[in-house]
Amino acid sequence: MMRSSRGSMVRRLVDPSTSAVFRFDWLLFFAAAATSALGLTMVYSSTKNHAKVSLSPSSLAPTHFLERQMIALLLGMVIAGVVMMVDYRKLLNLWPFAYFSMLPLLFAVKFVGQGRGGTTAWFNIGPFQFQPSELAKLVVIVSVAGYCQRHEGELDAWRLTIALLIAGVPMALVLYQNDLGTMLVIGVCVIAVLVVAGLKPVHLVVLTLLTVTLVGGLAASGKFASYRLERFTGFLDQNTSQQVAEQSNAEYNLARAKAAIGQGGLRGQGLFSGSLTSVEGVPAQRTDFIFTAVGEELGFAGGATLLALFALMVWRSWRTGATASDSFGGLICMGFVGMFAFQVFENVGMTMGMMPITGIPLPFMSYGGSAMIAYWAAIGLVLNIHLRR
Amino acid sequence: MHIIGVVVMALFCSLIARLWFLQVNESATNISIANESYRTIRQATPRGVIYDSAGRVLVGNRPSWAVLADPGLRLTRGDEKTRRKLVEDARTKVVPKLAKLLGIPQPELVKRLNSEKLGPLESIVIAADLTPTVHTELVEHADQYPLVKVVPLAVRWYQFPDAAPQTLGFLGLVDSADIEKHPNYGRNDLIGRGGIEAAFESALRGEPSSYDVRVTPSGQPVGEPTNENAGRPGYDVRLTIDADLQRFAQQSLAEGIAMARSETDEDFLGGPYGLHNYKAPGGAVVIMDTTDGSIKALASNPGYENSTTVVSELSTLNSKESATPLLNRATRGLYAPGSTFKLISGIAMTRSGVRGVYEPYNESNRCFFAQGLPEKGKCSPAAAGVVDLREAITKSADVYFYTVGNALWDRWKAGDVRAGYELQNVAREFGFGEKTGIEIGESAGRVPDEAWKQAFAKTLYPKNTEADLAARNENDDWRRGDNISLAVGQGDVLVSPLQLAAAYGAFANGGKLWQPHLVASITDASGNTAPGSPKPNLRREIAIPEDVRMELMNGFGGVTSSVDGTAHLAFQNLNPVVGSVAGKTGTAQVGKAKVTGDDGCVVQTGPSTFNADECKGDTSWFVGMYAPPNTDQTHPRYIVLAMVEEGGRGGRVAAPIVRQIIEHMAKVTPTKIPQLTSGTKIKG
Repeated sequence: MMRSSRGSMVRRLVDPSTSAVFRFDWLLFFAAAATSALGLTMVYSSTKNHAKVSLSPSSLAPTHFLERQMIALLLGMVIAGVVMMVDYRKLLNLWPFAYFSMLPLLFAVKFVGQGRGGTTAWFNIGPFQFQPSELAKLVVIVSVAGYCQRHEGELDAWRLTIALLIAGVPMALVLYQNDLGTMLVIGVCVIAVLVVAGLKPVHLVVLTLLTVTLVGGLAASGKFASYRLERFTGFLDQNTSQQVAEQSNAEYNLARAKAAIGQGGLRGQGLFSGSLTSVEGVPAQRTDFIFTAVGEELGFAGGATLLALFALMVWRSWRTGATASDSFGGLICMGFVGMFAFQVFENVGMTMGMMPITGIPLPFMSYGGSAMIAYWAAIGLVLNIHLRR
Repeated sequence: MHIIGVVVMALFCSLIARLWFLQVNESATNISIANESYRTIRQATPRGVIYDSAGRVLVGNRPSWAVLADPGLRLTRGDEKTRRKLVEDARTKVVPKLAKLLGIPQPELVKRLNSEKLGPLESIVIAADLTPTVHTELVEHADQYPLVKVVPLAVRWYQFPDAAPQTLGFLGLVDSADIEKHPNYGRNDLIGRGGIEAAFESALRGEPSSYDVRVTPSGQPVGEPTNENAGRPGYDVRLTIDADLQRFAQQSLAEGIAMARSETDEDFLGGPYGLHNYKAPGGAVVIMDTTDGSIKALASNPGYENSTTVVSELSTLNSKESATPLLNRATRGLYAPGSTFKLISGIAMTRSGVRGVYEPYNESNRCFFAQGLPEKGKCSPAAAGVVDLREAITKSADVYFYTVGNALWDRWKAGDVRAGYELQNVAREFGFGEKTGIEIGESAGRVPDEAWKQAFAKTLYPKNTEADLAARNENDDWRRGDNISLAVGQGDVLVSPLQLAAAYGAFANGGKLWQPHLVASITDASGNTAPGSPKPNLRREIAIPEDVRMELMNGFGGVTSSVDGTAHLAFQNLNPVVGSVAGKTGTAQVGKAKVTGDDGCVVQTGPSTFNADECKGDTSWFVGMYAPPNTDQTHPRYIVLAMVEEGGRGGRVAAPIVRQIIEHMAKVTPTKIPQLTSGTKIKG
């Protein structure tokens, strides 16, 4: 083992079994890049007429949102590159620092942050907004994975409680910002990590019962904002009544979304020419409801392709996790699998009336810089683990 | 680990399946949802400009900003469960902040937000014409004021804020009653209130542009506008008012009033109640062209400044304490005409044959006694000696006209209702007792006769009790004294300054009673005459025998030019280049609380505990008929009328105002309103 570092570099680049070029997961990178490109296209398609159709005087350029989203994408890819370079195993010691610097951010945003649609989750940084809860998803996954790795195979009730506390504190803070969707995502990711880390079936059952009781109790106590209940019940009662004006906003959102997707048919109405989505005909269209634009303009063909790209990403992440060199890498990957899969399922599902409406963005697609950067950082981490199998 | 893989793949498959059903199987049924809930968005087009006769802008438009509150901000009613948290948060935080910024007390702001029965989706303007500071704050920190929008809103601009406020009117936000009357108005539209702005509302407003847009249930517009309608800008209105003359008239009136207030009310001289100045709470000026009834100036004092905030000061502007500046005294104020009514009495006298034009009458006593009059009869400040009609007008001989009222009453009592009511008939012919038809709000006035007295007694004593019936019976007779008072413009006769000007205008031009008007033309944006543009309207022609007219005119001429004239002092040394001025003074006694005069004629005994505030001074009138040089002196072109409430003698207060204005019209340096020594006697 007296190889010089220089010799090692050269050999790694040349030897097919060790070369970074060959070890790099091109498929995952391709899937994420292609989805991001489609995302930019659909963001542009959804916002190019914003100044025209918005009633408040607006002088925004048609490419305003596209430009901002492109900056986020470039930043995200750079960060992914940086994340990929540093051996992920160093995180085993570093995650507590990341974790404890994240908590104050999550707490402070409620007080100095900006509100939007009932949620207070954004810091103003110049012309941009930063949403710490997007970053929190990654940090919590890595933290729980790190904790579980340390106690591999000995996840008793006491340690499980600590793992749940690690996840629970940021979840509570996110819920405090009124961001239920992100809280659910974190919850799902943590469960995915815990299951793989060897969660006992008994604990899983107890955990499920606990969650149901908690949510039920919140709803019954009325502390749950009523618009959220409406969103949750909206998808249970999907009539096609014409009196949409009398419907609540949640039902309306859903009706519009389904109408847009339904209009797409097999091949769609054509890029940039959706009759509803090219004029912001669906509420929250460039963000949470971006899938309606895909559905309407690109049809079943486009929608299915997009879902296939997501499936590809999830498969590559899962495969990386399954073949990772240590359980830490495996747990992180499974957390990301849970995150991507749940977000896609929840987001696409809600636009089609399969899932309740919550404010969860569609990865790489929805307009929003913090999320874009966070997902690319996640991809960077999976690539990192893939490189060091 | 494999469990997760399987679950994830199952989820993806279900998504694809659902997508397939939604897009390929069900597509036809879902598309219909896309057609729903439209809202019509109206945008006001520029309101028409109001010009003066010389083409100067009196009322224009200027851009400004208004605060629009989203529906959420005023959502305080409704089901607790359906109220959205977002709205609650925003409201509890924004309303106090907004109240502070706009300088509106918070309860007032909440009241404003909830004052109208708005639909749940309608936004409402809560403050218009923002100051630059407020505007900057709202725009720069928009994120701190959620549910509040700053929107452009054109408001009125006044080149001469002081000019003719009561005539021009102002704009206010529509209320529920307006919306019911005009369904095409939006909640945040401005509407004309009073004056020209209200009278020509539909012409000035034009038609708003509009388009339909799809909205979400919370009112968020989505999609592209359809059904676009460009609307039509408001028509411009050109007035007959001359801004320069108007402002000068207002200034003269104000000076005259100030002068009156510095003088001792002569009714108190030598009396037991001490000395009091004239109160002169207000006045009016009317300048009219006798050839077509166009109004050159219409002044009412006290006035106020034209501005966009008038609407918020209405309670003050309408209060008695500030002497109701909002009231247009020129058209709505009603006063006894006093001796100016002798024009009517003179014509009635000759028409009924009571007395001939040149027939002399010996007015030897200041008081007139007739059977049925109270012991002391009707008295005049001075006896005029032997006079005919011309001299009776010049000297304003009261007894001369008392006897006319007396003789006509005798005929009425004898059953000749037609001839007995000659005073009333001629008065009505000259337009008294009915509205003149001017575009803005006015009062009809009153020409009293037996029918009126009976109706009035019934309103005073409406009950069918014995006491009421007796009181009614005692007060509903048309008495001798009523007709004698009427002959000199006293008693129950009431006229508006505008009516009096119109009547003298008809006399001056030879008998044509024109409808007084303020609007010369209405034009569209390219200057073409718009539909509804008015034309001068001749109400009727009044037959006045030429000899009667000439003698009356000579009498009116003597008022200003003869040493016996009641306005002689006010018009002495008039620059000959001005032209000729004829006219008539009026000094009308008001109300019941008259104190004992120093002339020995007790009009009515004052109350035992005398309160000077209840004692009203005489209404001061002067109606000038002005013929500029090189025009027909027998048919004067202009009527220049001034009236000062409780201002004292017509020749002393009102006449100098008229002189100033006429000198200004003739471009001669106006004579300062003379300060007379208290107690100087001028008959009027």
